[in-house]
Amino acid sequence: MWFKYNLGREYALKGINLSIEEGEMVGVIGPNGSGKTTLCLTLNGIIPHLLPGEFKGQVVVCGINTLEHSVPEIAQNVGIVFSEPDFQISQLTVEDEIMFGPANLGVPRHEIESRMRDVIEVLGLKGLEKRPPHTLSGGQKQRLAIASVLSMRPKVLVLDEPTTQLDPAGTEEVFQAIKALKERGVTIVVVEHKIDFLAEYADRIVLLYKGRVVLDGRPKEVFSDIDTIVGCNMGLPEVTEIFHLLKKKGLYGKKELPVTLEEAYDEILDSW
Amino acid sequence: MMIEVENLYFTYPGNVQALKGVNLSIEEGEFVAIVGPNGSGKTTLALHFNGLLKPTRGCVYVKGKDTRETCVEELSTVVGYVFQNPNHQLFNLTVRDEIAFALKRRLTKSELEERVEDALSLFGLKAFEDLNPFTLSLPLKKLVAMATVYAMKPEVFVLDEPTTGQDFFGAKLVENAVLKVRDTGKTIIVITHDMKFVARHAKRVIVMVDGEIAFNGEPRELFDQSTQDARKTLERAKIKPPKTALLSYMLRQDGGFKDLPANLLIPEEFVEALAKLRSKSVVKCL
Repeated sequence: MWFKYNLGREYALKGINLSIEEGEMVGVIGPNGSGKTTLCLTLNGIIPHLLPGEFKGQVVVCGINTLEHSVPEIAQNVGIVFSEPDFQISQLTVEDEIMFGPANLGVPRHEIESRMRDVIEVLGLKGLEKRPPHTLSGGQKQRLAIASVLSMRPKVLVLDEPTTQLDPAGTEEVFQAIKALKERGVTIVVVEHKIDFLAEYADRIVLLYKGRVVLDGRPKEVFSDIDTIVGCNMGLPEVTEIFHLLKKKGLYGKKELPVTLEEAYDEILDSW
Repeated sequence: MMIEVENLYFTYPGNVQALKGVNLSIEEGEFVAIVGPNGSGKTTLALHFNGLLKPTRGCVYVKGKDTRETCVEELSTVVGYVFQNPNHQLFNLTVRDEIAFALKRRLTKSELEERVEDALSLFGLKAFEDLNPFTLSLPLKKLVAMATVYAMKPEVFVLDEPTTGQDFFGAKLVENAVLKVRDTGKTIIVITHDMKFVARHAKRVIVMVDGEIAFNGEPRELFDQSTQDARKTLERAKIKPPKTALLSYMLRQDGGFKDLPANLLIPEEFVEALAKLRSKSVVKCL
């Protein structure tokens, strides 16, 4: 798939080939300007339907070719959450916000209510139902934004830098929520700069650089390719950095480096 | 003493108590990090350092001067403030004008020229001097904001979340710029959520929770999982130590690495300590 914005000088995406399995959680990383957000916007048809440009190739989500269906149709399968929850939240209470999406899709009232109870539960928003969204903390707001998308029961959830505006506690809350959704079998695509979190939670990491997929594999595979990661101006998970240094000193010999704390702990116990 | 805060209370309109009895002193040349959850009072505290906020109760002294009796203009020559969002700080049409703006009334033309050149070169902005700051990338905007403050030659540099919202490369660029400012001998106060940054650079860390100081000491002490006090503070502030600190603690506590220091903070330190252990055990085997 190729895409060039109408005002863009060059293609933002250059020949992307990617397939994502049902239930997978894919972390998308890459420096700013590498095409991460553009990729997200192609997944529910915002590109090319609402943001026109030159679009080549195709995107098929849940069997639906995005070129042949409208955004509202695709949105029932693919929900997007952006990094700034304030841009997404429009209603006056948490409850109304969650009901807004399914109500607009014509979902029957009793069904909306049961969905609402369900997403409030899974995103940990209990007790906040009547609160105006602007009185919530950053982490709560972002979980509300996710809840309001989730109440439309999308099969795929796309999160574009969901924790950029959050403090460490808010970031942790959002990733816990993402983990809970993953356990329910929702397919998740998350763009994120906090790679230590992705290393821990994602099944797979896709590294975009200048509009191309440069690496695509398990977190361990991707983050062990240090030359490529560094060449793309990206950083490593902290424990991977440790093992990279150990390797340079000749103190570690394996090809794949640990990416999570638990893996690092086990590896050191094993090899010492 | 560069900055002294005595029993500081601050209440925003609507009776929102943001600071509740803060005591603090910062010496010349220190590198201090202020951490804590959103809404804990970090920015409110820092805005008192250059007089943008005045105490509701208690006192703040900057180089011995009571901020309530000193105007912001005078304080700004001592304490420079780099806001979180550079868009809130930049408004001139070129980078050069932006840096010169605050100095135009204060300096002769040749002095001004020299100051601007100095700031442009320290932050590597020479190539961008004629560009409109708004057309620059976020990290470069941040550098321009830092350069405008630097050109005023303040003795204290306050940076509010300098790396938030940046990608890895941008964060590194800004981090290096902060270190350059530090190396010119200035007192640095950084508000941040980035514990790796704190572990690597801060000599002292102040943890804010709910308008109060929950911890004031060395990062090594704060991130030391082996003491109950540190664990409690981190829990209250909802902060996790860097992975390196957690790993060294786990290895020591559960992994039988009794000789490994428990509170190593950065990867380089950890690797060195582990290498030392290995060379010792080799000697033992021989």
